[in-house]
Amino acid sequence: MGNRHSNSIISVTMALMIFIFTNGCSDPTPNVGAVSPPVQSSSSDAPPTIDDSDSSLPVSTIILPPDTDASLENNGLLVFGVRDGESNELTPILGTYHRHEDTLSFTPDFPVLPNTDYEAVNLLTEKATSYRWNKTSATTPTLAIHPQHKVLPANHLKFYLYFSEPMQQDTPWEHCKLLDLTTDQYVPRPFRHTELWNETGDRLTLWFHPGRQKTGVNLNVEIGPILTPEHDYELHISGNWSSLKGGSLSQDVTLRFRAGPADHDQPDPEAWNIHLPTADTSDPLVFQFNEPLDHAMLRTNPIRLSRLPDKSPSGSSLLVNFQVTSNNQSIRITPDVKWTAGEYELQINPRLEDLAGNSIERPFEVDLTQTNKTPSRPQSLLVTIPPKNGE
Amino acid sequence: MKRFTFLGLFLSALLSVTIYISQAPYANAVAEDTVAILANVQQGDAEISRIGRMSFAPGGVLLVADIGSASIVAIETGDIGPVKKLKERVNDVDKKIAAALGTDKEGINIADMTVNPASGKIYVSVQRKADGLNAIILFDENGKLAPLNLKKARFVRVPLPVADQKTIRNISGVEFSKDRVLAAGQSNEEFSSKIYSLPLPLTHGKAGEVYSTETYHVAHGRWETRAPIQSFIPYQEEGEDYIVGSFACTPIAKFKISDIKQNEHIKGTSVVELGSGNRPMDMFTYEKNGKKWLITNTDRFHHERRPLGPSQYWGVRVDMAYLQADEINAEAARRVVTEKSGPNGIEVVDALFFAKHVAKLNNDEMVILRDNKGALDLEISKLPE
Repeated sequence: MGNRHSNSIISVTMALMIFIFTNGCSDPTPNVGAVSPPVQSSSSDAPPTIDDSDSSLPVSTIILPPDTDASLENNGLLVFGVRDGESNELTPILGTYHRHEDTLSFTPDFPVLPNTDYEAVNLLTEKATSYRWNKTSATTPTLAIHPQHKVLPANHLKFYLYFSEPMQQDTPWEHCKLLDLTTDQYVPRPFRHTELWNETGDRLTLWFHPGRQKTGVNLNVEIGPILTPEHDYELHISGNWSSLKGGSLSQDVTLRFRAGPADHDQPDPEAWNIHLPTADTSDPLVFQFNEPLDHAMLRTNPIRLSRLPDKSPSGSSLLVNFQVTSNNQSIRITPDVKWTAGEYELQINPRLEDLAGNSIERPFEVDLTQTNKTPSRPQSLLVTIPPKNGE
Repeated sequence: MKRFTFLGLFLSALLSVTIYISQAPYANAVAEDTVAILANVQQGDAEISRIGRMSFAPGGVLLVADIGSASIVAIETGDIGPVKKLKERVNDVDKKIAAALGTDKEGINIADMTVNPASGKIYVSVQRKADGLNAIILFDENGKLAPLNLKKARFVRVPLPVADQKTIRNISGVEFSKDRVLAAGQSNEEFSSKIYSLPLPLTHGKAGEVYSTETYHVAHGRWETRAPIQSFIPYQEEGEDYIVGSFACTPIAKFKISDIKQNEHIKGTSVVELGSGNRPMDMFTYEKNGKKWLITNTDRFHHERRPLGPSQYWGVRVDMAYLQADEINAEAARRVVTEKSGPNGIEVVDALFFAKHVAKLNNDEMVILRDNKGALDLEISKLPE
């Protein structure tokens, strides 16, 4: 995480408002008690430059008079902290003191933040200095929400929020709302309170609360599912959501959809339409699904194609390119070299899900009272690419 | 020269392994033999990319879930006692931690709180929202706070299996058991949860022997679904090791650890249903007057719609005799949601109202991070008799 800070050099754009106690500077006696609120005066100095990549850099230094009581603790001489807006107390931030001859320096344990007011108080002189460095050049992040189908099943499970840069990650659901346009009411607490970001922090998986989407689970029984079939909805993502660089989305992002019937059926590869290329071409081999599949999983190694007979011990996949169509309803496979006639095996990730969490391997929920408890679908398909006409 | 080299290597190996010897029950696990916990210990920046849940292993080893890198980081804290527990309540903990990190309380997210039972020191994992900075803040007996130095730490990092690193993006718990470390992870694509068994010693960079398995549970004896574990503890019963897990939809279920095998599904036995609209937070067990109890606290997100008590944060204790159900339990005991207790052995714990995080100090006391009208206080509270 420290790397996020390491390359940025924060220029101090504003510094040094000198505060003086009403009965302050004339009395050099160190004040080792609680720091009282200082009186603000208006003076400023030229802004210094601080490189926050160097956490060893002292950010506050005072000169100790020769007669400084040697028994005084460092934190009784210099305090560096944040002043609470309500109580006006100055709470010290964590850091390390270093005393050398007549100089006392304070280095924070953590990089100081831009756009935050800090204050250093020399308890010997009762002078306070305020610091604030404003960060500039924050970009405005953008957001794309998937899936973007006009109709989603009433037991739809999740959205993927793709940001253009890493975002502030905590409690992301607080930035999200679901408006039932049919009733003009916001749906109460529709989202699962679990933070599921990708490793780069720029994609969030936003789940509807599964307890309401799963048949037979207590919330579903007691207050029903989140979506009502035939109702129109709008997902709202707050424009106040900020990136780690500090820029906010600046305006709300919305996604409109209608709830259709619930989907309890698994994706069925045997029902997929297959468009075969011919040998000696690089035309695409197209698998058209019988329903839209999960946006992210389709883009994370959903299938593997092998030429048969495959004599390698673990099976070897062909070098091909996969392209998922924007409606998440088909995948196009083009070879690195032209197709040769013969039999191919398409192995499908058994976890590949539809929009309601039903996978090739098993439905999202299995009714144990039914005889066919785990109706796994075929996890591979055989296709034969025909030779060129006349061969 | 060769002899010196060999001796050096031997000494290095000796120094790079953390060993603990324990004769007494520790937290939820009993360790009777000498066990090496850590191997190939690194020194330097632990580089935690997104901090999450924590718990203690013996010998002052702090287990930390690094959600951002899908790994478990074990830190030698050197905090091995003696016990000096918090003397009095610390108010405004969130404000103090925030100020220590140079921001205000709205600028931080407290991920977890745990206590080292060997020393009584309280550890809080926290992230600074503005820049994603991670920190662990300690509170000593006087309530004085200090950072755990993550830049100069002795640690090992054990990544979750490579195949899962892309998609396991939430680690909902990490716990020490007698011969392994267990972790529960949630996928950011499938609606699933995996349990990982990390054998000892935890070896820096070594993920090869990590086993994982998917968890399922049965709702109301009829609907079987994958489900994520929110919190869990190791548990022993008649010589068999189990995981007791709390699911998002609040059944408490148990899994046999011996069932954990690579790429297998295990089904939990639902033993108790706590009622709907709750999100489990923490879990631990304690013994009192010859009885074993399970404590868990939850965030009742339907508090406004149907309040259970004065706060959305509440907790319950469950007689561990309920955990002895031995098959998929179609009729798991259900807490009587309209009463403070019942059926027999399931009781709301008054001290856990407003508790956002709770951790066991010993069989008599727990540490609570408590919501106090929007502020957070840290205190020690008695466990129920």
